[in-house]
Amino acid sequence: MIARAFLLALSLVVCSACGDEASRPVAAPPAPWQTSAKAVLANSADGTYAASWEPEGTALPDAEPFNMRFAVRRADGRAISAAARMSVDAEMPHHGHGMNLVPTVTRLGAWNGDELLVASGMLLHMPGRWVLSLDIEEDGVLERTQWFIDVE
Amino acid sequence: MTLITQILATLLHACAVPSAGGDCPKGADHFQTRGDIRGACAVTFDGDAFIVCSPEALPPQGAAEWSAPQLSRWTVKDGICNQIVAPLGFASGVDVSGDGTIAVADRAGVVLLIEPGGATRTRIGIGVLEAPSGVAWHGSNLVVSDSGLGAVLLLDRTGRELQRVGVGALRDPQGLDVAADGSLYVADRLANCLWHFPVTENGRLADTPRAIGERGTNPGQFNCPCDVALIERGAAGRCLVVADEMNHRVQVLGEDGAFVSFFGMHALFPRQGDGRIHYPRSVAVDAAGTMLAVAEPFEDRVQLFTLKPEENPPDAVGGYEFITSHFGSDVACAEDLLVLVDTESQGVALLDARTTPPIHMAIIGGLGAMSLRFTEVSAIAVEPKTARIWVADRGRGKLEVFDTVWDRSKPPVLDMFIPRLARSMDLARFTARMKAAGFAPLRVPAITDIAFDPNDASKVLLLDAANRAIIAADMRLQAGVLDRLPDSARMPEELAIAADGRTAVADPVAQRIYLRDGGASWTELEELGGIPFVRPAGVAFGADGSLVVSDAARDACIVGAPGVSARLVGERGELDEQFFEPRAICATPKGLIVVDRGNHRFQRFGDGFAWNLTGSMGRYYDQKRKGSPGAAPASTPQSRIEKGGES
Repeated sequence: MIARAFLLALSLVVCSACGDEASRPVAAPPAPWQTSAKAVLANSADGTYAASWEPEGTALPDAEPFNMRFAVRRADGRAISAAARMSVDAEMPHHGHGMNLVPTVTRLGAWNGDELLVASGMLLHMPGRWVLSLDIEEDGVLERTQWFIDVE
Repeated sequence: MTLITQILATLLHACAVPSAGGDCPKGADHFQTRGDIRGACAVTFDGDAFIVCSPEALPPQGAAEWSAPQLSRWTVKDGICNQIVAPLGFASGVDVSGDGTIAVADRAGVVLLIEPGGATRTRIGIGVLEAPSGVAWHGSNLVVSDSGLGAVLLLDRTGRELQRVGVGALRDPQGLDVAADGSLYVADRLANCLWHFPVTENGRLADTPRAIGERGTNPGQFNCPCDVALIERGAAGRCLVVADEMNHRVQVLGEDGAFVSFFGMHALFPRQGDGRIHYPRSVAVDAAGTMLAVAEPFEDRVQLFTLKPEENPPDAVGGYEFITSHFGSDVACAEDLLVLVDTESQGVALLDARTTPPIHMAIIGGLGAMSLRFTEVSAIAVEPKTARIWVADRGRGKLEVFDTVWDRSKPPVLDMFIPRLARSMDLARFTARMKAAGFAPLRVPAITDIAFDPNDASKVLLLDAANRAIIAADMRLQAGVLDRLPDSARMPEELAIAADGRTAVADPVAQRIYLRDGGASWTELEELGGIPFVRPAGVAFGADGSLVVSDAARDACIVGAPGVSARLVGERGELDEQFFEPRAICATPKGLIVVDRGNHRFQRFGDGFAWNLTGSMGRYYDQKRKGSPGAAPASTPQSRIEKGGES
């Protein structure tokens, strides 16, 4: 009898704890990073997106592979489509070539209206003026955001 | 193919692994050239002669009228030519059956059958075919490649469709040939491969073809393959002989697709021949498998070669005058920015139009390793006020817009940072949206020209050869309206909008200019001021409101006004105010620019359509050279290309 009462009380405690957990809002995981003051902001060519980039780490490495962080949002406040395709590239127009590596873009999710992504495997392999581009394609229309990067 | 890639290809050729096609010919000796076959675009053997298709024929000596599109039959040994006048729109393929019946593919939408003797002619495939681009006999039936349908159709002699294959795989099927076992090989210009359709157990052509080859300049790769001819070697298999148009060569492959050889070095300047090849469109091998005919419409000729088992020795590079550009197809200008397409590299050149000569500032696309490369630029335009450049890439199915950023207050300099991609729009997705909006059936647009409505800056106008229409769309291709051209339209190529709202469309296959004066209905012009159009490829409005039509067959421009008067400007040649297949036209601050495609250059005409400049990349003439029309006589008349002569 005592044992049965104990089990009942225990189950009530457990169930009560379950209910409390289910009704509590799930805390969003923290953003993988906070965009720093060094981030370089630009609007896309037609103004549909605003995006910023910064290197992962303190500075652009010299002729070594590195990762690049992007924060991007739509100017109209709408969320970027889950089906949107994003790609990152860099080229040297005066030399007529691009990078020796093809970077991989990973979408990490949205925080405070900014979609965060990381481009891994970037390599600016020689000094000079590079053009960095972020392409976002939604519903068959690709729009480009571009930055100049001068590598010393 | 540039000289460097040609040399690299030759070296790779020497290192290539021997293939299964060991008995296939590895080289060819130039035998003879038959020149002045206007637009010679398809060729086949018929016993001891070859038959060649021309979109039109030269007028007889002293006659003003051009004859209809036609066939001509040339004996190989003595070069006797017999004309076979046939009611054709634009012949694109030809084959002869065992009983001597000639089948001609006509881009106007039919196949014409000409019985031996020529008395009986039958048009078949009406309502079934759209834009036939190649034809071959398949036993007593016919196989017809149709670039409009993106398929190959098996028809009986009455035109009844027996089978349709390749839908969804073929992109721009062109010339084709049938093997002894009934299987089929098709050259696909846009897919840059050959397709092989085996015969299945039930005797039908396989629905799923096998691709042979890929895009490139190396041995075994293709750049716009346009035709294939087979050599049957019995138990030793068969050889595939391919017209590799933009690589300017003929390639030989084994039946498994393995590379055997190539020959025919790129002609380094227009009119160079004697074994050098320039834009080969069609190939044919005689019944003995020893003689090869190569049709080159760009050069208005057919060259005959004797096939041989040995490779050709490396050809010496030479020439009295290297060309400096390959301007072709389209040209566009708005205010101070002129853009031209280089057909060899598929690069779009940007020039400052305010200067004489125009200064080259940048190039979009072109050869190399950067990400943005075009496959086949089919139209370009410059957006007024913003100077954004629009490029339609038929090969990738994209319409792309580029910002141009340069300091106009400073002298123009070469700066590859000037053009920057702004957006890229997918034409298949646009087509899906149009269909959902009620415009079904609708093909993915084949954009041949782009223009902007002077009264509505929110609209872009796309001349669409696939749907034979003008599509008025918003600038991001979210929605559009289809404005169909008259039923007679076949292959609309250029669109011009006048400041007063007049619209003109040039259609070289329909041999018409479609003109609209602001209203809804089109006027179909077959002549201007009494001068009939033969192959009207370009159209523009002059500053004085006159209509200017470039006629690729006449090698001249027709300048005038409908129902009033007109005059011809130009003649065949390579000097100033002379043309070789003039094409697109556009207005610039210093006059109308006409692309002189066969001479790989442009010419500019100012007030009264008076010549004022001949230009190519880095080479310009603003004073007429001796021998040009209206200039002092040439001291060396041989520099002029005379009509009727042999290459």
